[in-house]
Amino acid sequence: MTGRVTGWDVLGMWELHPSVVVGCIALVAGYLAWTRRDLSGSAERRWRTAAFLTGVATMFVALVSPLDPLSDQYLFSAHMVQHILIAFLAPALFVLGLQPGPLRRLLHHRWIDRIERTVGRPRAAWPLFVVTLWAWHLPVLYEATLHSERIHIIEHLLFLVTGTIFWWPALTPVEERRMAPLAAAAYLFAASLANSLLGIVLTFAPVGLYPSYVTPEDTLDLLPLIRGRWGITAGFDQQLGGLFMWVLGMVIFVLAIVAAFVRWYRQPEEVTA
Amino acid sequence: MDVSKISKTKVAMVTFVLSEATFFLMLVIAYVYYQGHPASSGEAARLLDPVKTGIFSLCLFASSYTVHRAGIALHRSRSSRLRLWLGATVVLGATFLAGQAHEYLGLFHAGQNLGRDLFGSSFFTLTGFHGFHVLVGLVILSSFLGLSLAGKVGPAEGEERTGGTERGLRRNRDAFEAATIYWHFVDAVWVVIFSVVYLWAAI
Amino acid sequence: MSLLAWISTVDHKRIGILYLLVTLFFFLVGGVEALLMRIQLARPESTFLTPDQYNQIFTMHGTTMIFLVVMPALIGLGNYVVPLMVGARDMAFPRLNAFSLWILLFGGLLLYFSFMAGGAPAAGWFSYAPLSEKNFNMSPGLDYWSLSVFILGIGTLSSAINFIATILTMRAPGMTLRRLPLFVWMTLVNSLLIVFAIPVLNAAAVMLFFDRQYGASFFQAAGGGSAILWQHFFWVFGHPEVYIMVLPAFGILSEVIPVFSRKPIFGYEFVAASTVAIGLLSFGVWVHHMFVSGLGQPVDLVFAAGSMLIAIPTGVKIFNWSATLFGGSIRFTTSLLFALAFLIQFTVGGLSGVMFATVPIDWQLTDTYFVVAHFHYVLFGGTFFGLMAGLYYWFPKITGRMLSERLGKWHFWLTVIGFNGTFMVQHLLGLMGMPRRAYTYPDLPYWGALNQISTVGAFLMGISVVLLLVNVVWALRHGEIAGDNPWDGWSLEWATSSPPPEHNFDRLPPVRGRRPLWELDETVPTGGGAGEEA
Repeated sequence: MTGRVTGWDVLGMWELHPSVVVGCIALVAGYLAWTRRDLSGSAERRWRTAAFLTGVATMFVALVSPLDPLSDQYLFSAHMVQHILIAFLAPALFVLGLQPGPLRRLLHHRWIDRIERTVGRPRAAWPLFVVTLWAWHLPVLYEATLHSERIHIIEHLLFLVTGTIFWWPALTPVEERRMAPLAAAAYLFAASLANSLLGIVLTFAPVGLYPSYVTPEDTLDLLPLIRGRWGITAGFDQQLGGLFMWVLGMVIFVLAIVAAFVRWYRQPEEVTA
Repeated sequence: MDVSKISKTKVAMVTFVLSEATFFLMLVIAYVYYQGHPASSGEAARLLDPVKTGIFSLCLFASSYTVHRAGIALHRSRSSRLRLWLGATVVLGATFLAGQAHEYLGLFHAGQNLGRDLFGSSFFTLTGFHGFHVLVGLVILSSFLGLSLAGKVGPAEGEERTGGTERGLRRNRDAFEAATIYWHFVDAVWVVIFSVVYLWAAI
Repeated sequence: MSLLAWISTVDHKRIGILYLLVTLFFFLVGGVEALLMRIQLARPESTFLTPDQYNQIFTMHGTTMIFLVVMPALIGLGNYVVPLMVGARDMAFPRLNAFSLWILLFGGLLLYFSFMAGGAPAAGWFSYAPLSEKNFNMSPGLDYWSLSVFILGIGTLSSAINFIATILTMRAPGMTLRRLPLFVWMTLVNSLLIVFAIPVLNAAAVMLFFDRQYGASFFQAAGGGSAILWQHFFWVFGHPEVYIMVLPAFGILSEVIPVFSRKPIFGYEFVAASTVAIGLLSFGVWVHHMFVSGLGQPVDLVFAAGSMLIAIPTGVKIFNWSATLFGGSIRFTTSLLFALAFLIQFTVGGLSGVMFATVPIDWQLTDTYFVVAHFHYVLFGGTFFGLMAGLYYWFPKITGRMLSERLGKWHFWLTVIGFNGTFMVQHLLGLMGMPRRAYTYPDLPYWGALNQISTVGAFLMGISVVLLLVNVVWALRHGEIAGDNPWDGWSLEWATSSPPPEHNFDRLPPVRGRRPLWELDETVPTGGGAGEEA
């Protein structure tokens, strides 16, 4: 082992996993096909499409960029960033990216409507998301994802799915299914608390919560770089990961809460007398 | 959602519940923080009986259902039903407290108390405050029961609903709804405590 | 009005006045404590107070000013004004309101009883473990501290719940949440802060009490507990607390400045939104009080960044108030003078605060007089001045009489000189390394002189308080009759008599905008004279 891997080398460690590439292409193709009937060309349609594509891009980058090997093998903090992209940011963009017209047509189908009315309600979506988030950070489950590719994929899929379900009541373009803005603010605020709590626990937990990150298997010869040049110890890494969850998560939630307030503010005045 | 239409009693109770939730959150954090500590490790697993406490917990969870039914009975002005469901709630809640007391006695016998070690400090503080909140809830519910028995809740037997009683009825319902929210909250806190303290000790 | 009527009142206006009287009493007590400290510190190596006496006095000064003066004064003023501003007949729960008031008095008396029961608490207002534990602080002072803090917390929470219920459900027809006067909006956000912050303190106080009385080990290292946990718990409360102590003052400024500029507030939405932002962010920066507790570099860095960020929403407000003044037709009433001083002094305090967000600077200056200077600039130069602005503004409404503008100007200038004289030099002392919470200091160059200046300033402040009391007493007897709306204000409290009848409004004007009285077609009634009108 030469130990002369540099940061620049890390930047080049992109790996186009076939499953991810195929999945993203399928998503984009499916989306374009699904929405082609609505040729309104309106501004809304354009920004929603942009949002959806950005969501796919976010997910793509999270999974094929150097972030991936760093996350899987070396750095808890890197893995946290990856999860935030997959579980918080991409799903929000997906929901924002849905087009109201085709969506309404989809909701005409009885079963889809039924699913939306049960799973898509805040009282189901919230616990689904929060419990998934917390459960996968139990050391036994987290370590399992690091050692079994299959479990890891399941974890990522669950993050994506429950994340999308979570954002649905707050962000759906179908007004009739959307939470009232103040209720959405409270919903998001409660979720931010649950997220922050976990982040705080991870930040202040004694080092060694996830043993695979304390003594990583150095297959890519990055350990000297990480521990030496970059000076990231296991303790630093774990704290940083907790902080990322806490603070980055908070930032996303605060933005969403502010957006909810702006939406509330824009509503036409209801004069009571 | 027009907030100004929600009853002020309900708003006040929800706000109060939020503040109490924060209070309990801090006590839970303290408990969890000290769980891994060598000074208290193993105590929870050694001394607590999740099965027995689980049975008493079921009483508390069931009481949420009975108080919900009591609310429905109040809404439909079925006084006898109201008293039945309220009575059941009080009995179930009291049973839970009795179970807790029994457990406390057992722990005291084993030499555990607030000052014994970290487990004792955090366990008794957390469950003790919860038990106190249950007690307060029982007092509130029993007061309702007493008032109902004295005929002061809802319309009198066979009375027409006039305008004056309508407002009084609404106040009754608001107050009872607030009490119900409080009771559900106390229950929800126990769900958390039971999971974090008893279930976790068992694994 | 008979004494019994006052003691048994559930009317928000009388309760508000009683709040102000109780806080005035504790303000005088806390002020005396401050003067005693300043006498002790006027000379190096002074023996005016023993170390233990000094510790008790600075602890009581801090605890008094925070829990028995600033918070309840803001709540008390809000008690009087908020129901009027939303057009309600009283608070949502009048009896709960009375309960809050009497709990305040009881909690305060319980705290002060400690002097007679073996000694007041002496571990600073934030009672760090392990100093606060029984083995280091055997007198019952800290038991009284934890109990009274707990009890006072319940009172504060009750007020907060009352405010939230009142503001959300008892507004006059037409007063949507987007038309709320900013003082009411700030009170609403503030009450939510209280709901989430005070229980944290209560939990910590309970744990401390159990440690001391029942041998629990929450913060006792010997039993496996963690002193750092106390710091975390305390500051999770403590940081939102400082915003709790300033938001209502921001609200007062947002009422006073527009009225005396004859302009609507600039950027109402930004002031409202930035308040919400401050409320949310305030729970995420507490670690900046713990930079010297060895939590690790990542944590320090993240909280340093967050703490700098939180200065932004406040800066937005300063900008909005300044922009309101710009181009306005300014009336330099005493109320506005206090508000203007607030703008300058609070900014100074804010700047020194942001300095602390830089970790290396914090490491040098923490626990020095720089901190003392900082928080007095924001709490006294800020909140207290804001309270004065509010007092001069609403005194006519509360009593029906105008305060003397002449005496008011003397009061104002004496306060400004006294306050800045006391605390500006403390920045220098802090930079030179003078530690806080220490009963004396060595005779190093300039330390004695600067401390003397500070003490002189403190006594000037004392005299200014006397002036305030003289003004109040004089006005009650000889003040000009105020009339309904001496300032040509436009919120609802000015649409009724001064003082208002018990039921507040004979007739509510329709609310069609953010400035109800301005929107009315009729001439705004003025009655009596006021301010600096030519």
